[in-house]
Parts: sequence; structure tokens; C-alpha cells
Amino acid sequence: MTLFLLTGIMILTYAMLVCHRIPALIQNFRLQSLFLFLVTLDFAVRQKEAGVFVVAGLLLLVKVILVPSFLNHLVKKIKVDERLGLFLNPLLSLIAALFLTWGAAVFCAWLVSDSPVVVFAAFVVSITVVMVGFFIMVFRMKAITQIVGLLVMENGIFLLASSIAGGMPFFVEIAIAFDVFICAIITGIFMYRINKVFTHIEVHRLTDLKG
Amino acid sequence: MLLFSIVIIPVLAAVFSVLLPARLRGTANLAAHGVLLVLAGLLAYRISGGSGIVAFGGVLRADALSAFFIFLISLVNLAALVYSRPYLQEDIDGGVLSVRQARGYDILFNVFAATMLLVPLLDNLGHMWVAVELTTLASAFLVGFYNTKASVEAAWKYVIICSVGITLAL
Repeated sequence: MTLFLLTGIMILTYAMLVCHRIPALIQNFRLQSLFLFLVTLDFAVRQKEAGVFVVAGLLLLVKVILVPSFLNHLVKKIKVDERLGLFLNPLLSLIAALFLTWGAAVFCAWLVSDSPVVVFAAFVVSITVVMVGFFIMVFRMKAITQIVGLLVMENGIFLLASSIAGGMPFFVEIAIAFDVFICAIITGIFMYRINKVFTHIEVHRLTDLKG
Repeated sequence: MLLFSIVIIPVLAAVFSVLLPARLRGTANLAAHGVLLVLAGLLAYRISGGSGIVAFGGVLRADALSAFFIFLISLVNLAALVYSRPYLQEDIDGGVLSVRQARGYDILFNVFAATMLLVPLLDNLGHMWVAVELTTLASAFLVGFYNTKASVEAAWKYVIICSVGITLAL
């Protein structure tokens, strides 16, 4: 079951790399968060702890419903060109992501060699998700992709914490969920301002402050 | 009580910045941060006498290192406040800033001060992480305060770099 969900996260992570348009990217992020929620729910059912259920509920509320809706709303509001602006075409991105996955697998095999296959898979998937988040931030042009990349990285770290370390303390999880939400709102506000001041949101053209 | 008041004073100052008119606001802020510096000195004195202080059933805790940082932060805060008052006044007189924006500056300054002072006082690493992230988010608006091309660009880069760094720190 967990392996199936992890595979879902992996596929959606790759899907994020090949999509061309902003709504597709946000939709993929929403689905990835949904799968992450299912993983957490699965974990909560097996642990039978009320706290983990609350954390899963918060994940559903913040990352599946609120943040993607907010981003969609923002994209509609600033009326920007829907294309993502790729520095690296989807095929090459996918190949790079496969290499990142391979690297993550080698790293994890070296780190946790004698653990059950589920733990190993969760480790590899979460490291890959963090790497792909980085990749999206670096190789896409629009400011919104940096927000999504950051959220993807956060997803990966959450998966890492919940599957390897058995989750963080309850209040810390709640505070982090709150924090992610605030962070998304504030970066959203700044994106709106960038659009107003520069009339575009292409990060590679923000070069006034280059040293 | 001492630890609690160190955190709550800048929060109160932020609330008062919302409520008070411009002239009183400057005096109130100066008074608040002056008191903070005195409290920081008091904390350092109390710490030097023995072991750490705990408040709120262990949520807040101060040891020698936090006393040092609290003192440093409140000193820098006071200096920044003293410096920024005539600086902003000049921009208000020159028509670069509105009085409302200057109020926003005071509010953000105090919120930032509160989050900064919260960081060394928290006893849980996870809570501390959240507080550090909050300092980033509070100061992002201060970086992008003038709303010009350069400042918005700087604020964007600042927020992204700090958020990625803090995410990896998790």
C-alpha cells in the first residue's frame, strides 16, 4: 500500500518536470500533496495516534486545498503568460531527474543498507522530491515556479521526517504547517508586487542587483 | 516573568504602533526598546549568578548564550530605531514615503524584533526553527519596504534564499 502511494508521489514528481503550463504545475503539486496526505493517513491508521490524524488533516487543508487554490487565484489575477519558460526541455529535465533519483538511491543504499524495502523506497523518494524541487526552482523562469519548487522541497522533507524519523513532535508539525501557509502567502504577495513593478514575473530578468 | 516580558514588549509596541498617532509612536517605541535593553542587561545579570531561567513550563528557557544574544539584539534594535527615525522623517518630508507607510515600518520593525528575541529563548529546536522562519518572513517586508524595482527584487531573492536555506535546515 505504502509502496503504491510512494510510486504515485514519484510519478507526480516526474510529471511536474514535463509540464509546460503553470496551471498544470499547480495541479500536479496538488495531486502530489494529496498522495502525501494519503501516506500520512496510512501512517496514522497504523499508529492509531490522534495527533498524526490531525497532522494529516492539516496537510490536506493547507497543501491540498488552500495553497494551490491561492496560487491558482493569484495566477488568474496577475494575468500572466501561462507558459512556464523552460531553461531545459522536458526530456532533458526528465533525464536529469532520473540521474538525481539514481544518485539518491546510491546515497540511500550507502546510508541505510539493511532496512526494509518500504523504508528504503520512502528515503529514495523523499530525497528525489527534494532534489526535483531544487531543479524546478533553478531551471524554470517564472517566479511562481520558485514558490512551487519550494513547496515541493517542503513536501519531500515532510515525507522524509514522517517516514524515517516517525514524524516530528505534534506542535512542531502544526507550527510548520502554519509556517508553510504564511510563507506561500507572503511569496505570493511579493510575486504580485514583482508583476506590478516589473510587469513580468520572470526571475532570470531580475538582474539589477547582480554583483 | 522576565523572559515573558522580553518577548511581549515588542509585540505590545507593535500593537501600540497600530493605535497611536505618529508623534507618540516614536516616543513609545524608543521607550519600549530602551526598557528591552534594560531587561536584557537584567537577564544577563541574573544568568551570571547561576544556572538558566525557565518560564512557561519549559517552553521558554534562557542560558548564558541566549542572554548574550538577547543583549546584542536589543542593543542593535535600539540603535536601528534611533537611526531610522530621522531617516524616515527625511523621506516623509521629501514625499518619498507616506505617513501610513512609516506606521507600517514601525509595526514591521516591532514584529521583527519580537521574532528575533523569541529565537534564543525557545527551548525546543522545532519551535526555534519556526521562529527563525518567522524572522525571515517578517523582515522580507522590511527589505521590500520602498516598493521600488531594486527593493522588490532584493526582497524576492532574500525570501527565496532564506526559505530554501531554512527548509534544508529542517
